Amino acid sequence: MKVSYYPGCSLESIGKSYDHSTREVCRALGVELEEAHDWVCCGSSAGLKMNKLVSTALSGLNLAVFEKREPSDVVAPCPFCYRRLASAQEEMRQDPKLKGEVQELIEAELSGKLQVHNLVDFLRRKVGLEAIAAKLKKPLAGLKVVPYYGCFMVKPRQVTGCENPENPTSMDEILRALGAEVLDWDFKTECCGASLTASKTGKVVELTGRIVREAAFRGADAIVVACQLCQANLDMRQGEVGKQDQREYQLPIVYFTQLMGLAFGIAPAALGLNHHLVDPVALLEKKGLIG
Amino acid sequence: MSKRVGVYICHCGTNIDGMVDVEKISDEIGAEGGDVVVSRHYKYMCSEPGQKLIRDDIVELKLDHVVEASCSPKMHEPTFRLACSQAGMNQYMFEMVNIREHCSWVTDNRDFATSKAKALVKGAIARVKHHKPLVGTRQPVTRKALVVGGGIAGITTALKVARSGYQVYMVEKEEIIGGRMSQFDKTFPTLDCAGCTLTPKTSEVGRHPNIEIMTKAEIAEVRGFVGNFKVKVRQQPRYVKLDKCTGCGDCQTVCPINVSSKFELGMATRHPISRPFPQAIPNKYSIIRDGLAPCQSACPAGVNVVGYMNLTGIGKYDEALALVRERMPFAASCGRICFHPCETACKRGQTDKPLAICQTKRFLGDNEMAKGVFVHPPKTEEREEKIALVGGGPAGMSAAYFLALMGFKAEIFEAAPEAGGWLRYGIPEYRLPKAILRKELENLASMGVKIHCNTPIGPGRSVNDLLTKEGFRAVFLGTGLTDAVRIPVPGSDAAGVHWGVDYLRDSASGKGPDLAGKRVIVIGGGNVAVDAARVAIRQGASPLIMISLESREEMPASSWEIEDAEHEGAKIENRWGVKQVLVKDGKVSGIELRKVERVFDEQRRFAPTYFDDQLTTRDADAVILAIGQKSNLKFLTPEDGVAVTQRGLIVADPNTLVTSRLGVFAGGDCTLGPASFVQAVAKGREAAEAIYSYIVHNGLREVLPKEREVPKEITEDERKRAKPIARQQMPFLTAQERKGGFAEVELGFTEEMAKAEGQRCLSCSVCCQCGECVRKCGPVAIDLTQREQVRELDVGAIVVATGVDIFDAKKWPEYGHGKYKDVLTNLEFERLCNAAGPTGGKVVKPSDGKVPESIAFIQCVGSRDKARGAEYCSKVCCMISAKQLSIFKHHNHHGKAYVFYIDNRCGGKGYEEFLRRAIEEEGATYIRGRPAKVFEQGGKLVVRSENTLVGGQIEVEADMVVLATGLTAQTDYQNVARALNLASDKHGFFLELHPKLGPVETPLNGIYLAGGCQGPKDIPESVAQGGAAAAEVLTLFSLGEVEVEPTVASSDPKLCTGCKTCVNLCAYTAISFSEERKVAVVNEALCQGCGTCAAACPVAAIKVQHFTPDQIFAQIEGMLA
Repeated sequence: MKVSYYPGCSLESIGKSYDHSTREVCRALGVELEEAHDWVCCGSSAGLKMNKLVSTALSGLNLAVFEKREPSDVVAPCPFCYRRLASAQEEMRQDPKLKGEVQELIEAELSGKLQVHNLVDFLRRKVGLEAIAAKLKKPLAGLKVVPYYGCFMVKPRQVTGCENPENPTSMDEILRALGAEVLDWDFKTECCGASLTASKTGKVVELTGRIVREAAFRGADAIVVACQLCQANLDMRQGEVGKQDQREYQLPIVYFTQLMGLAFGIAPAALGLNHHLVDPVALLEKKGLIG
Repeated sequence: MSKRVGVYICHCGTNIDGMVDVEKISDEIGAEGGDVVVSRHYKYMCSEPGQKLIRDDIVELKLDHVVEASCSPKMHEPTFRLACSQAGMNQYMFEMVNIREHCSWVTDNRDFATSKAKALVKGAIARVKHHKPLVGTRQPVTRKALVVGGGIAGITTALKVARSGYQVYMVEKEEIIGGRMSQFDKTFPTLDCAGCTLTPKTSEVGRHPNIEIMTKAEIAEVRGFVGNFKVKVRQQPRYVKLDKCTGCGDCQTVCPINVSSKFELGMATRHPISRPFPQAIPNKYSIIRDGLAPCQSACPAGVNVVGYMNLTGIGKYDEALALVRERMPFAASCGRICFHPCETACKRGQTDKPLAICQTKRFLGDNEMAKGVFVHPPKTEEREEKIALVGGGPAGMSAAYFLALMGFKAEIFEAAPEAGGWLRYGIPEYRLPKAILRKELENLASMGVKIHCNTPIGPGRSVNDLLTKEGFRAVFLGTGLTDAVRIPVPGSDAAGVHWGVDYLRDSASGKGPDLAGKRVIVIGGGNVAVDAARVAIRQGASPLIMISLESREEMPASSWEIEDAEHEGAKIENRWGVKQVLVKDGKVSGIELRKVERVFDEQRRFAPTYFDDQLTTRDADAVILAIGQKSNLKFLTPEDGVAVTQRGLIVADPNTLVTSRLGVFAGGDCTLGPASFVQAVAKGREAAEAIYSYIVHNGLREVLPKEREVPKEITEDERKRAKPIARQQMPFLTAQERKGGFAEVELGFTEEMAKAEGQRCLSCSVCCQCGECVRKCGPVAIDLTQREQVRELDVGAIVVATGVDIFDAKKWPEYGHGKYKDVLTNLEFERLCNAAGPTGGKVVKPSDGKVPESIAFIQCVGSRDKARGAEYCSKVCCMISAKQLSIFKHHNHHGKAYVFYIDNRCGGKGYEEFLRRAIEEEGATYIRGRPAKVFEQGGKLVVRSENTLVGGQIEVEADMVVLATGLTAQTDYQNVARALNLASDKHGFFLELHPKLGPVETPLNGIYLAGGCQGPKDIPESVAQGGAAAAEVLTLFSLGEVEVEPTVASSDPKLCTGCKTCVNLCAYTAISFSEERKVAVVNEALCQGCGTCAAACPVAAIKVQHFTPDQIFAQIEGMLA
């Protein structure tokens, strides 16, 4: 299976482990990720707030790049890139005037027929549970996790196509198929604070605190994420949350692709498991899933 | 006739005059003159001065035609017609023109409006001149009322009409009357106990001599017209006789089944025989049964599988066996050899594995045999007649058993040395030990059945002789298929070739061939072939190969038999056919096979084709060809007069089993072709019943309606009922233990295993008709043979009061209903409060039974919700939540109550005061905002909402959350609408005639509405509407007559060609065809004047009075002039 790959800026910086583990997992599943080398920023952060046309045009540039390729499917692990690309395409579909302006700016024509996927859905639906389970070498037995989708990937339903944005299950199903004990909880899509991490750190501590506390209450060993911002927030602020509650939480925040990679028998170093603040390696060793 | 026309045009305030220049039209028409004698305009024609204008002009100006232009005729045609007739002019000489809804209200262009209005008026003037002075007829009114629905609205209507001295029928769908109110604890604003206010009324309804209650009943069809309705009511069986039941409740204590209670909204269980609460009216028990369970339906003998499995599950083995014996007298045999279609149909198989029905039945039979007893029902009488049964196999044995119970003298004539037929000489010992069979035959003999062995019937002592010379009143032929089918295979006459059926019979008689150490090939794919293979293995054959035409899946033999054969060492090769038997020195040396291309043709008929170039051989010392069974009919003589088919089967009527010879019946393999043990036993019983009706009733039979089968898909309720018990594994001899002997392979269930198996039953039929309640009922009030009934009623007026249902809270998954035990709907919370409810009236959390310290109410779940629910407001929920929080506070004085609301709609008398009390005295916290989500954090429920008055988000922890789910129409409202021809709005509420002025009338004369079915409302309004509907009914009854409008169709017999087009088109079945005169005849009382017939009539023989072609053409020309 071939698919275009759009890592986005974050996956080349704070989300390096996400990028590496994604590539490893896709390689194991026989999914060829074709990265275009002329992609640019998707326009979802500062650009979106300041100038809608610029933001949409940035996405338009990327859409133009990926539309040209075969097959016309692109997968973007970063939820912000994913939603910006998909939304931009949808907005231009609904507003031909905007589309015209963008096409003029980027000096390219857009067909609007690109299929934009987020990584979780791509693996669950396009690759499928059977193919994933077939590659299982080391079941994640005894590992209790809570799946944290984050708020961005699942909404709005019209753009993401998510059937139940209040209670998505794709990541649960993938992890369960690989032998992990996936605990149910009501915080799957509660916001972590996203990019407020620098400007309103207190808010991020408050929001991630609730998530971490509930995960601990439910008895989770780790929180599994699909977004590098979520990973960063839950990882970096956990110490401060702990200070507030006068305890150490020690809840590793791992990417679901890292767990998939482990289950496929890929070496932990290749999955970036030593790039976390709250160390997952000790936990995984204790559970007998590493070493 | 003179034509003096008066024209009146209404301003309707500014409604018409605002857009149409009324004065101008009136003046212009007046100026044109002609037949128009006077033309006026007035502000409100429908008012008294307006009508007076018309009346005075008719008298003074001697008008004989009147045209009035104003609003819709639907509003005021009756008003003006009445005015005309009061002044002495026939009311049909009047024509009304709509220049409001059709003109002034639909445009904003004055010129267009005025010119259109004038054209319409001119058209009316032209038309009215063609009107005829029609006169209606009067029909008498049947002074009986029908109330559909036994809730508080229906009860109110029924009591008022009954107290006035008229007969009322109350038709209620559920087992009891009382409707929603019977589920409530208290009512607002008085906090009266709902039961205390309702039960005196239900009690009075139950006692009133003028009211007849029909419960478990629905309206199937309504025909007729106002004052003369013919109603068909379909009533489901209660299975309990109302005149005998004392409501003692003994029956409930012995019922083994528990199902989810609909009355308790799934929060409690009930027995199928139950009563929702002790004060219910009718104060009688009722059994819910959904229909025939799939197992019983699949059983050819109709054994009540659900019944006996459940009895076994509670350890009542004797009762279980008796139930089996009603249809299958030979449980020990059946439980060993049946192909159990019941298990294939068993719905438990859709969750884990089907019930081990067959093996449990075996336990029941063996259990009795071990005790050395044989219990059968007492004979119904002693009779003189002798009945002969030719053939002592399963069919004959079964017929003899049932005939003996009926009191007949049954005698079995069996040609072989022992009786049992295929059970003795076909099915091998390791599947059915002869000792078991002999015991069954002993039991049969103990009933007085005579069994003559070594006594063939045939030439010399024929069937005819039995009837004419030996005094038998009837003969049953159960002669089976005892011969082997032979095919002309070259070499099949060599030594060492055996035919399957013969081989089994010889082996069973101890005369089998010596196969020890021989290489044996068995040809065939059916059960005979498999039996032959397994017998041969035990006789020492080695190796043993089974070769069949069919693929493994196509083989007709039971899959478990094939597996057993393989387990014992048989090798199976599929898709080969026999070309020839290889012979050497007159003895079998092997077999030549050809590859099968295909066994069944396109029509699934047996028509094998081969690849004649693909051949192979196998060596063998003996070959057993087991390819089929056929009948041996040599016993029939020409005098018997018994017809047979080409295939050699005896011809018998499928229902009465009678052959071509009167008095001779036949059943089993000999009529069906190769069938099964259970089918033969079924036919034996049917034959006994047929013989009984032949002898006692001269062949007349009562045909009882069959019960409907329940749906084949397993339901959620059934899944929840499944107890976590795995299917018992039948212990069996290992392959080693089976070697060389014929010991029984399956060792049988123990008592614990049978009991556990019985408890796995889901009781798909709900009531399993096990009979425990019947046995326990002192007054003998239970009758399980009751069936659905249709009853016809003649009534004069119908009041529809079918009530409401509530929104399905699962449509709002974000509120967690169904996910969290402590999230309830208003109605579920009400059941917690009710003293007869699932917790005995204690307000406790369903999750842990503890008293909640805080409850959050979420309003408008489903109502005022365009996106996912309905736009309308359900009216009562604000008050319900205020009421329920007040009840909660009485139970827990320290509890906290929160209500998340949009508005508080408390418009009734005392309602606002009640709300204030809830806030100020009970201390409830009212938060204005829509909750987004109910979730669990730290193990507690949290409601996240907006607080609009403060302008921010709020999260509130609560022990319990109650959703105020709104009211909807009943889910089956379409059935009611269809039966009664009612119109409903897009939400399913029935349409009234006018929302302000006619809330209880419908456009259908004689049919009225009351209560929630017309729209969401509270109890005072339902009662008020109930009374209003009663007033309508009583008006009709007090008049005693209805006027039938003359604007109906009439057919001119001179023009009618008798094509019957109109007859088939009439939706009101008002047109019939007269065979003598060969013309269509219109029943004016039924005709609604729709005009379909007139439009369709090819020769314009049918016309609708007051809408004739000349009138309509005149109108058109007048408009266009």
